[in-house]
Amino acid sequence: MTAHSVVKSFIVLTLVLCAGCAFAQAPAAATPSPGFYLTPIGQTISLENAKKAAAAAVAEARKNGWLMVVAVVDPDGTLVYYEKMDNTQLGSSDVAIAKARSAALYKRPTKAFQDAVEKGGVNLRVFALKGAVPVEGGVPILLDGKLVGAIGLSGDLSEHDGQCASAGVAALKM
Amino acid sequence: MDALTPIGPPVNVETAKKAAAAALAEARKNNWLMAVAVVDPNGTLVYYEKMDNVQLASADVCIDKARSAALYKRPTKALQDAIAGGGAGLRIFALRGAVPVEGGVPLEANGQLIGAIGLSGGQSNEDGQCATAGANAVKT
Repeated sequence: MTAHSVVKSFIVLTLVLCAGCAFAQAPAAATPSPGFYLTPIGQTISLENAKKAAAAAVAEARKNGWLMVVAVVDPDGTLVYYEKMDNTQLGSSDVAIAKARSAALYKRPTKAFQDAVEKGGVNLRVFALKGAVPVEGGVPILLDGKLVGAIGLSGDLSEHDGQCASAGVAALKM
Repeated sequence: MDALTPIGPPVNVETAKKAAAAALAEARKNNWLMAVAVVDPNGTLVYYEKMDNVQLASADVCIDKARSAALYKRPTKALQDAIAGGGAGLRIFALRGAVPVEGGVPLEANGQLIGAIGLSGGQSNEDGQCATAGANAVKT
C-alpha cells in the first residue's frame, strides 16, 4: 500500500465515521418532526380565545397551589393577554412573556430548546438565537392546524410552568 | 395624587381586572379599539389585554404609558402639557420612561398609589378618557 492510498483510506474511513455520527445523533435530537416547521402561520389568536387559554392555565396553577404569571402572544410575539397572580415572583413578569414569544416565533415549545441545551455541545448554539428561551413553560397554540399564537407561564418549577401552559392549550381543543 | 402621596401595596389582580374592564367598557361604548395595561407602583405588569384589531403598536405603548404614570406619580397628560408649553418643558424627553402622551393615569386606593393604568389605540384624549374611567372604577 502506497502512502497515497493509506491517506485516501483514512479519509474515506473518517467520512464514514462522521456520517455514522451524524446519523446516530439525528433521532436523538430534541426537535419537533420536520412537519412542525411547515405548520402554516394563521391569523392572530382572538382575545376571547387568549382569555380562555389563560383561564385554564391559571386554573391548573390554582388547583396545585402554584403562583404564576400567564402571557398569550400572537404569531409575531405581540402581547394579546397577560395576568399576574398576586405574590408571584416579579421576575416571572418578563419571563412569561419571553417564553410565549419564543414558542410563537420559533414554532416549538420552549422545552425543545431546554432539551437541546441539556445535551450540550453544538446544541448550546440555542443561547445565540435572539429571543429563544431554553426553559420549559412556553407552548405554541394551534387552531385548525395553524399557528395562531403561543402561551407562556412562569412562577414555579419549570415543569409546573409547562404543565399549566399545556393545560391552557388543551382548553382550546375542547 | 401629588408628590407626597404615599406609595402603597401593589394593585392586586382582581382590582387590576376591574379597572381594565371599566376602561374597555368606556372604549366599547364609544366604539374605540384599545389595548389596556395595569402595572404596580414599580411598573411591573399586573394585567393586560388587547382588543382584537387594535393597531399593534398600542401593545407596547399602553404598557409604557402605565409605567410612566406609576413611576412619575402623575398622569401622562401632565407630561404632554409640559411639552406643549415648549422651552424648558421639552426636558421631559430626557426623562427615562416618561411618556408625554395622554392615556396613562395613576391608580389610587385609600389615598395611596397602588399602580397605574395605561390605554392606547384611539386618539390620545380618547385613551385618557378610558384610562380615567378605569382609575375611577377602583378609587377608594
